[in-house]
Formats: sequence, structure tokens, C-alpha cells
Amino acid sequence: MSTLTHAPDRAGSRHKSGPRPRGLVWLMLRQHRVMLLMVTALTVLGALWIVYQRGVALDAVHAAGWPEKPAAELSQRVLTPIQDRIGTMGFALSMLPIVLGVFCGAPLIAADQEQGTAQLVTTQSVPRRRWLAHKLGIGLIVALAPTVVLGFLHLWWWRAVSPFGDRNWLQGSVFDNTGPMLAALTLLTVVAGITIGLLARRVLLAMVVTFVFAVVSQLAWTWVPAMLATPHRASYPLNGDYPSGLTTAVEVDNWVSTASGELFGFGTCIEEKKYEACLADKGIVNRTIEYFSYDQMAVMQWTGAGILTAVSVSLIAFVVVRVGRRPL
Amino acid sequence: MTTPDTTRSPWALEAQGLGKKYRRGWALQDCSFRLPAGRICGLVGPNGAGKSTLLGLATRLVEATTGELRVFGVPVDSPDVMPRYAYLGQEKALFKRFTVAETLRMGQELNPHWDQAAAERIVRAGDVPSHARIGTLSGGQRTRVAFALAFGKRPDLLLLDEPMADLDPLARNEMSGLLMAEAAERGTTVLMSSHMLTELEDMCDYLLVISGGRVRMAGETEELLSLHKLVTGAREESGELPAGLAPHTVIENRTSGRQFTAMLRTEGPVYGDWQSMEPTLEEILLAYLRSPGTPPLLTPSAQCDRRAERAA
Repeated sequence: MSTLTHAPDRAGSRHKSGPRPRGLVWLMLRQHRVMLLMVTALTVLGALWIVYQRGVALDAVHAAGWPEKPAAELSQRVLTPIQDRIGTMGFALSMLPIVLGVFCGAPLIAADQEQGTAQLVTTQSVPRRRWLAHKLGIGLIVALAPTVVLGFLHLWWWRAVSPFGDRNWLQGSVFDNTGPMLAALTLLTVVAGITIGLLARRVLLAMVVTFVFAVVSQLAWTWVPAMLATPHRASYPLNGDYPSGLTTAVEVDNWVSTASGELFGFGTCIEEKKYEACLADKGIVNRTIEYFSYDQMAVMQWTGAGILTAVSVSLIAFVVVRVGRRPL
Repeated sequence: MTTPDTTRSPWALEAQGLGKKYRRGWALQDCSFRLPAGRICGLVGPNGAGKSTLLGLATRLVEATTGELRVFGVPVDSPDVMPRYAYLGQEKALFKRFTVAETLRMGQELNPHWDQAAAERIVRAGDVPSHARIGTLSGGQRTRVAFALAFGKRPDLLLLDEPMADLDPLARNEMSGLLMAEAAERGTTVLMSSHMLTELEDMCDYLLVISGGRVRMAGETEELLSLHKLVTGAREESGELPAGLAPHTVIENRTSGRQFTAMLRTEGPVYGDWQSMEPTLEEILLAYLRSPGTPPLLTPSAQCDRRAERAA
């Protein structure tokens, strides 16, 4: 018995210099070393790029005389590159849910099943549920670390440059890629990838199915944000100026309307020869718009992120129950 | 460690009514047997007999449909069982990108009773460089590392699924030598499967034969041998076997010309005008596999009937 008790002690003492990852944490870090390094590099480079580009954009508008000169009067030569760059970043970030879901989520468990290493690990002295918990931990880190950092930095960049161009924050390139939304969308595709991988047991098949799922769910999602809050409504005189308080709002619908508030379609009377008479006949005196105010943006993003996270959590619950009940 | 009661269990494995049904049918059905601790047991049967399923059940990689399985008296689904067995699967899966040293490190990180010195000794004895990646090793070297991982766990029960199948004769010889030495040193119970008896014959002192998902024969090899006789003699005119053989169970009877050759499970001495030979283990095994109708033979130490025990 003495060799039994001494050997692990000796082995253990070699690792006593400083806190080192032990057990399954060590295994996860070692097995997914390359993936973790890539994700870290992606996060750091992306973050540096955003900080740099935000600085470049602000330097450019300052050099052009802003804020003394209003943003609307700045030359397009200054404004276009600013919008182009943040637009490109928005596009790149919108790929993150798909890329991380397909390349990190789908193989996370499927690769271990395919290569038999799931059986190898779970026939050591490690129950499957504990192994699964660590796997899911890695999945969450890979999904959330880059997207939380980049999502909020992207929001910070967008806030700084939004006065110099398109203020429509409801469009996908802004709404889905800033704040909590990027992380929530990525969490869903990564967790879906893990689930698909668990069921498919084949890496390639899991990656293909996850790709299709990610693209379809991203497309389906484009319909959702406008439903996440109730839009406000405002009316202003037919020939008057657009209300100045609504420059940061996103208009989602508009009508012409009577003083009593009866709504007519936007194009009402526009084809009539006697346009004025037609308006007078119907009593149309106002324009009415429906819009989301800027202060609704955060509420809508967090609501959307909450819904996606709830779906992700139910998928995780399914995976945990399934692995608990059925061998890998 | 588990409770003292269970560590002293004289049975490494006890199956009672064990069965596993897949969608295509029963892979294993109504298996009841015992494997006494300290034995080197061969698990033999044709391809698809249910050997891997049985090993899977013992390692919880497969879940039983019916019955129960105990490892050293502890139900197999208890987490206490995990440190007590080591499993080496057919494909000997290892992380291909890990080095040999990292593979052993994994064993150390995931097993409470890990014996690094033993694992390193096994690897070093095969001249496997510890900084080499698993993916670059030869089949024999990889098997050696898998063995090191299994023995480093210090198991009381070692479960091996076709351990020698993909090895060349030299590596096979080396591995079986290693296996015997390590098992003998610690009194490890070994259960290893093969569809070739010859592969296991020299190593095993116990045998568990499965065919068609059912246990056909189980017990000490010596005892199984002594229970059987191969009898050759002149055929009766009627074609029946001589009446003098009636007290014995005929496992298989083959006739050629005027001669018959019968494999008998003897119930006492065999008297008569026949040539009687000690059969080889292989001959007995083949006779049982060719005659599916023969009642299974379990020597007393392999019989598991908890109900009878409880009643007594």
C-alpha cells in the first residue's frame, strides 16, 4: 500500500509552485489550447482595432472642425470612411456567431465522441456529468469572452460616430452587433452547435448542420427586434419641420392624419391632380410617425438578449439531462 | 476508497439477469455469472456475440436494459466504482495531439490513486519517448501508452476489449508479458475479450464464453478441461451413440465413416471400449459454439444466483 500512497504525493509536489490548473480544468485547457489561443487573439486584436479606429474617426472629425462646425456640414470625404469602417466591423462581427458556433460549438463534444476520447475521459475516475460541466464551461467562455468584449466596445465606437451618419440603430449591423446582443446571438449558436454535435456524433456533419442553423436563425432573427418594444407615436404639421427631438429615434412607420388623429396611408392624395383639395376634403393636416426612441435601444437589446439566453439555457438543460441519462 | 465491505468482495464482477437491447435486438440477454477476484479471465465469443456490450456495461459506456451488474459488490452506476476499474477500448483512443508525458499527466489529473512511477516505468520499458506526440507513435507504442494509462490508475479490475487485435506478433508478445507481470504484481483481476481463444489461452486461468448474447460457459480453465472428454469409437449400426455414454451430456457428436467422435461433458468416469482423450480448450469451445442447443456450463465459482443465496 505504501507505494500507492507515496507515488501521487511525489507527483503532486512537483506541481506545488504556484496555483496550477488541476484535474478536468487542466484537461480542458490542454485539449482546447489552440482554440482558446485563437479566441484570445481574436478578442485582443478586435478590441485593439476598435479602440484604434474610434480614435482615427474622432481625430478626423476634430481635424475637420467638429464640434464647432455641426456634423451635418462636414464634408463627405471625412464622413464616408468613418461610416465605411464601422460598417465593415459590423459585418465582421455579424460573422462571429456563425464562426464560433461552427468551429468551436459543433466539434466541442462531437470530436470527443468521434475519436473515442469521450469514452477515454469518462472511464477515468471522472463522472460524465462533471466532464460535461467542464466542456460546457469551455463552450461558454469561447462564446461569451470575445463577444462581450467586442460587443460593448463596438457599441462604444458606434455611439461616438453615430452623429456623423446613419443613426438607424435598429438595423441588424448595429442592433445585433452591439451591447449584449452579439454575446446572446453567439451563445445561442455555440450552444446549438454543442447540442447538434452531441446528437450527430460526427464533427463534419455537426459543423454543416450548425452552419445551416446559424444562418437560418440569424435571418429569422431580423424580424424580431422591431417586436421587442412598443413604438411611440408623434404627429407634426403636414408642412412643418421634422421634430428636432427625434433625430436619434428610428422611424418604423408613417402616415398622414387628421386633427382628430384618423390615419391615412403615407401616399394619400399624392396622385390626385387637386392635391390640396383632396387633403382639405379628408381633413388631413398632420403627419404621424411611429418610432423607437434612442432610450429604448438598451431596453430592446437586453430584452432580445434575454429571450436568446433563455433559449440557450433550455438547450443546455437538454444536453445536461441527455448526457446524464444516456451514455456518450 | 470504497467502504471496507465492498473492497473485500470476493467477486470482481457479478451479473444477475443482465441484458442490453438495442434497436436491432438483444445484444446481451439474461446473463448471470460471477468473476472471482484475482483471476485473469478471457471473454471469448464469435464476432457480435456481445463481448463489447458486456465490457461497455461494466464501464457504464452502455446502460443495461435489464438486470444488474456489480463491480466488487458495488452497483456499477455508483461513482465509487470508477477508480476501481480501468478500461482499454478496442480502438485505444487517446488524444492524438497530446505528448506521451501529457497523456500520463491526464491520468494523474483524473485519477485519485494514480501511480506515476508505474506508468512511467511501463512507457520507458518500451523506449517510447515521453515528448513524442501520440499521433506519431506506432500501433504497438500507442498500445503501450494506453496500457500505462490503464495500469497507472491502479485498478483492481482491468477490462480490455480486444487488446491484442491490431498488434504484430512481437508487440503482442511484449504486451501480454507486460500485462501478466503487472497483473501478477498487484493481483489485478483482468477481463479481456477476444474472438480468438488462442490469443488468450496462455494467459487466462478463467474463461467466460458468450455467444448470441448469452453466457455459454464460465469457469476455471482447468476445471472446464477436466469436465470434458473427447471420445472416439465405432459407430453403432443404428447411428445412435453407444448406450454406455448415456450418463454424460453430449455436447457434439460427429461421425465419419464407421467412426464417431463425441465431445462429452462427463458426469463421472467414462467406461467402455472407446478411445478417450483430453480435449484442448479450443476443441471444447468450438463444440459449444457449434451446438447452440447445449445447456450452458457454469462451474460453481461462476454461478451467480443471489435469490438462491438470499433464500438460504
